[in-house]
Amino acid sequence: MRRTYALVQVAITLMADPSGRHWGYELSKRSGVRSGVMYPLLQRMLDEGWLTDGWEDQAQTGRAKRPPRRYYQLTDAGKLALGAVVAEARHDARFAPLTAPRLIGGQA
Amino acid sequence: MPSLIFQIVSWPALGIALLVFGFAPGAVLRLIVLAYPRDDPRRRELLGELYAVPRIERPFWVIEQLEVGLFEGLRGRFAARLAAGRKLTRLAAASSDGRGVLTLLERTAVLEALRALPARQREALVLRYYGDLSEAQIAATMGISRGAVKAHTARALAALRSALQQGQ
Repeated sequence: MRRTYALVQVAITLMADPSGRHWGYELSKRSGVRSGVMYPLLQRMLDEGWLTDGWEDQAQTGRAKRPPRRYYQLTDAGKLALGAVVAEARHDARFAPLTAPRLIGGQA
Repeated sequence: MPSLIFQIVSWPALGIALLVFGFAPGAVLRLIVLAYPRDDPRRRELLGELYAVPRIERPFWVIEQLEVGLFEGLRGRFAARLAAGRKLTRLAAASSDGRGVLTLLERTAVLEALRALPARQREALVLRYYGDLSEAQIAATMGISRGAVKAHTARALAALRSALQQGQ
């Protein structure tokens, strides 16, 4: 996959919580990548086997009649691949604004 | 008279549009997801995601999803349709002039292009066209939904097509 700015942004956000479940809206919000770019990117990561997806339990949605949400979770292959992406991005001047230490730790 | 047109068309229409949009972004979103094929998981995903968005941001978020629907949803549809059309014409051409579906050279090119595909896409495609499994069987084998099988094979076909065209 080409190392685009959006890919690095999403990779950093995913790797901030490598074993957690990631939800579309929050992911887009925290990575600063708009949905139109992020969803095709997530789809390609699914195709590569870097992510798995799943649906929220009906029990979790609780009383509300809202439909279940879809989550994404890193696979082991994904952790390696995206870890490499983040590591490489650190040595790339193009991504310097993203990989500044304060951003890596999660909350800015 | 531009002012007359303005009076008749714009204000009521604009007002209604704003009302619908502001108070029922969910209804607008339901229209947007129609851009996706019927069993694409993205349809349910976007509808589920709406409720995670703070109420005040929802109209803006829905505008954003319009882009998602147009670019990902519609493009996916056309890619699948074009791939199917090409396959038909190629089969027709091959059967009309009496030679096999693929020459040896083409077969090598296809295998090379197959090798370059992402693993899941390759798996779905091989099961579908070489293994001759149905979509439901592939879904069970790979442990994913039928929609995902469709999406994988459609994307794989589109990727193969562009790879083979580049090779020509």
